[in-house]
Amino acid sequence: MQSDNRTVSTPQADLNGRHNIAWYHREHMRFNANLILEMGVDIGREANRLKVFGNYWQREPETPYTPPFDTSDRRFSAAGCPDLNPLAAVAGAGILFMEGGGEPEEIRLLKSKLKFEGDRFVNKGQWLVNIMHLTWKADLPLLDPATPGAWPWASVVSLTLRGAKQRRMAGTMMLVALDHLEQVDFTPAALRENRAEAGKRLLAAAWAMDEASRLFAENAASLTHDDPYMHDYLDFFANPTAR
Amino acid sequence: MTSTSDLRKYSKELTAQLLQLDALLDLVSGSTAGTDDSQVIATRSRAIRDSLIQIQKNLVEVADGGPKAIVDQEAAFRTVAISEAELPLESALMVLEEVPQLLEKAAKAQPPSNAVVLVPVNLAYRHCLEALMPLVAAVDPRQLHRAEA
Repeated sequence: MQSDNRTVSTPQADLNGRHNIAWYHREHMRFNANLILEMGVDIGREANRLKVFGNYWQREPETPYTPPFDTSDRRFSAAGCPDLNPLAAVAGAGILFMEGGGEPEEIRLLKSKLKFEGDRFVNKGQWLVNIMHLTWKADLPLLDPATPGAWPWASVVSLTLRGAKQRRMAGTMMLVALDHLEQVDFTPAALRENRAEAGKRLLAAAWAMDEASRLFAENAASLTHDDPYMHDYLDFFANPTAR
Repeated sequence: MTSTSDLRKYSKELTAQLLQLDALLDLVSGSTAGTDDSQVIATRSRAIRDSLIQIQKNLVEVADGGPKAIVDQEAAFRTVAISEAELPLESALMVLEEVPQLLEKAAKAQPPSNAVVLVPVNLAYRHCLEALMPLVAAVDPRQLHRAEA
């Protein structure tokens, strides 16, 4: 804690506080740009896993790779379901439907991830929206004819508000994807009853995740684009009265 | 439920405001602080802001609570586009709100200059374009043809 000036409110102390925020948040924005881009890539990859199955379930099942056997025999409960798993895609997608299994563990984990990350981004996005409203009002004095060096900060705040809403909507899209998945009974018997329709739900979930991925990517690109603004804004503190 | 006509309607309305902002940018660029120009700028920026408030309100209403897990993918995509179009408008409104006060500040500055007013106007222009993009991108020409038939 900086105790030397924390109770003092003077124009210079206010400037010092803003300078501190500019330094630390410029660095944090750099971190966040990559973090959010990685989030977009991750969700996009998860969406592609679902698309493989969603597309397959709308086609005729491939010919089984083995001659028939009694799939109800408990010794073969781990047997893969040829009509639900496109064999060549299992290694890449990492999802496996088994004759004696219920919902695959991978689907359960994906649902947990969508719930956790969806809620997290909805909440954090809204939190950031609120912060940006407060920041805009508090920092309006910097938008002054006498301080052109500080004007880039106005762009950063305005774009961060837009970005916060993008993150919130990305969270919403992950929860929409979860809703789609919750409407599918992933046990093999139930899927066989409704294979094509379940496939449509998987594609719908994947496309909702694609939207989330795109929003994350756009937000990350915007954060990267803000970096030169932050650079200019930091320069302002070196000589606040320069024109 | 959202329709292709909704996408076109709000695309046109946002395009109209984009053109207004484009003209306002030119006007502010060539203006002299503290003159009658400032009154015109203030009036026009208020009019643009009022229009954007109405567009934002309509977008929220049409989106009807935002994206949902519906099976009709075309409708789902349109709702996403409508919801996404609303996202930058709050930023546009926030910055435009400051134009009248900034004009007063600009008039009192030594020397008087409206340069600072370009900051919110330029940002609003950018955000308006950002709002337009998802609507344009979501228009399926096949649906458009059917809607007009």
